[in-house]
Amino acid sequence: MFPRTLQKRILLFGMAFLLVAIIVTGVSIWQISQNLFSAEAYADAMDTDLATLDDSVEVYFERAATTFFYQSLLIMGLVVIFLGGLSWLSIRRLFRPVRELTSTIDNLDTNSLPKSIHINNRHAEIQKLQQAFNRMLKEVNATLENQKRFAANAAHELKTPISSILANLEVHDMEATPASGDCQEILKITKENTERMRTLVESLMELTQVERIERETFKLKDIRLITPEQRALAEEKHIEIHTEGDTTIKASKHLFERALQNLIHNAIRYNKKGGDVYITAEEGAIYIRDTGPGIPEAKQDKVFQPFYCVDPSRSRAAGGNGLGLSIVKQIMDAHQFTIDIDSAAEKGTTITIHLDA
Amino acid sequence: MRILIIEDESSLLNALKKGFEKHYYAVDTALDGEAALERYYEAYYDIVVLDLNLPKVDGLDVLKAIREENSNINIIILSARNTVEDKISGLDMGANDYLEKPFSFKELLARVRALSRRKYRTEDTVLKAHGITLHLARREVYYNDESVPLTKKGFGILEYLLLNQGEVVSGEALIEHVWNHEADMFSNAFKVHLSSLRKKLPKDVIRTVRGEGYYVP
Repeated sequence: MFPRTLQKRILLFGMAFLLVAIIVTGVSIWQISQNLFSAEAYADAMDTDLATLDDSVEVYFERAATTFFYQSLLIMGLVVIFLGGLSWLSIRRLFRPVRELTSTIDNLDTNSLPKSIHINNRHAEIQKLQQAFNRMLKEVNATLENQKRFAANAAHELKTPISSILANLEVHDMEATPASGDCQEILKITKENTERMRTLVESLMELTQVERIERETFKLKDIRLITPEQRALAEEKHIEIHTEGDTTIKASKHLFERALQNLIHNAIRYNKKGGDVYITAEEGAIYIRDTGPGIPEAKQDKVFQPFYCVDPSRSRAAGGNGLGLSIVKQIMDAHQFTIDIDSAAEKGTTITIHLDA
Repeated sequence: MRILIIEDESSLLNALKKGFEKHYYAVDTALDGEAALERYYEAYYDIVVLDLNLPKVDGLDVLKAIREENSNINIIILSARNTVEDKISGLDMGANDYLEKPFSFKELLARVRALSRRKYRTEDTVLKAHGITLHLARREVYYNDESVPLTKKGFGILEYLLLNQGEVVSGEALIEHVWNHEADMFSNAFKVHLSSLRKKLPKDVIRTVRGEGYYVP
């Protein structure tokens, strides 16, 4: 079988070339010994007849030919053995950093990956390999860190409603004769907190499901922008929703609808009482503008991060969990649409979706 | 015992308030860091229960501000942040205890009791004097093995006097530790509770030092 390691392959090739060289050189040594060290050649050179030559001359040349042939072979053999050994050693030496790199990577503790690895070697190939590996390590670490933070945030968001339900039940249990009003109150708290956990779990599921999209062509007017709950919330806050214009969209209808509903929900939720929401469309772009308190510039980059809330207590009071905009961003990224925020404190927020990315 | 609970989740805060009041604590509450510090600077608290994720002023900053001002107050952190690093930074910044959410309210009560025992340098969960036994955990008082029914405020006054046995405690200090901020300092509720408490206990257990205060010898 063909050897699997690069080192042995190089050696095998080397040996094959050497064998060819040995055969070619051996044949030419043989020919030289036969042609040069012969009585005929001598006679030719001396311009005499072979028959006139002494027998001893013939014997001498025969011996000389044999001696030359075997000595040459011996020297060649020694040279081959010496150089073969030398190249085996140097190939091994050349491959040492590769082995070192392998064992360093092999021995990495996968539970706590280091920031980078380092081995002492000046060779360009090895250095490049090491750099490439370190770049990958950095990205893996960043992803792991993100996931850790995400999981911690998700756990935190779930723990808060659980704590509330538990504490209420436990305190209620301490009462010997609980009043029926207390029971109603606890049921209400439990229901609210369970609802919060349900929305959170649903949002978490959604975040992980935006992967495959099947595009279809539809008009903005074809999708349901405002759900009955949003309409009810808008009425409760005396917010008017204005729609104007239309555009053609090539996207997953279900996901795009979901994203727009999220954005419009935010525009209602974080709007002032008696405010307005404007949904405007032109070819290739959709704008959603509200008359809310706006997002301070320093916080605008962060609003798409999972679990980020501009004002945590206000978001929670409004039923937000910091995942809505992350879902929107993920949906837009999956379609290669871009989404922009234009907002200033006390000025209101305009979200723009560019459909021709 | 007067306690300040700082927690931004109102349904949890209400449950904690109700639970502590049931166990005869005087409870004040705050929904954010700013309100917490305002409350804190107004009164003397025995214990502060502190959530870390707070709006306006972060929990750790509240902790730092309280610790800078008062090194004796007992602070217990109640948080859903549960990494070892979070606990270390909370404790290093001056918290006396750290309880992870979700938690058992009974455990929180026990930890609060343990902290107050430490504050008043007593190992006992039962305070005894002149034939009176006061159970800190069960919130019950006995005189010669017979149960003495006390009001919450009466219990609070006796508990505070027994914790500071032998020392004269002023009327203001008693009000500070037994009532929450809704109490009216000028009402005679304190005097009424004190005299009804005295009637239920043997004579001369609670003594008066004119112009200074009260003590249990």
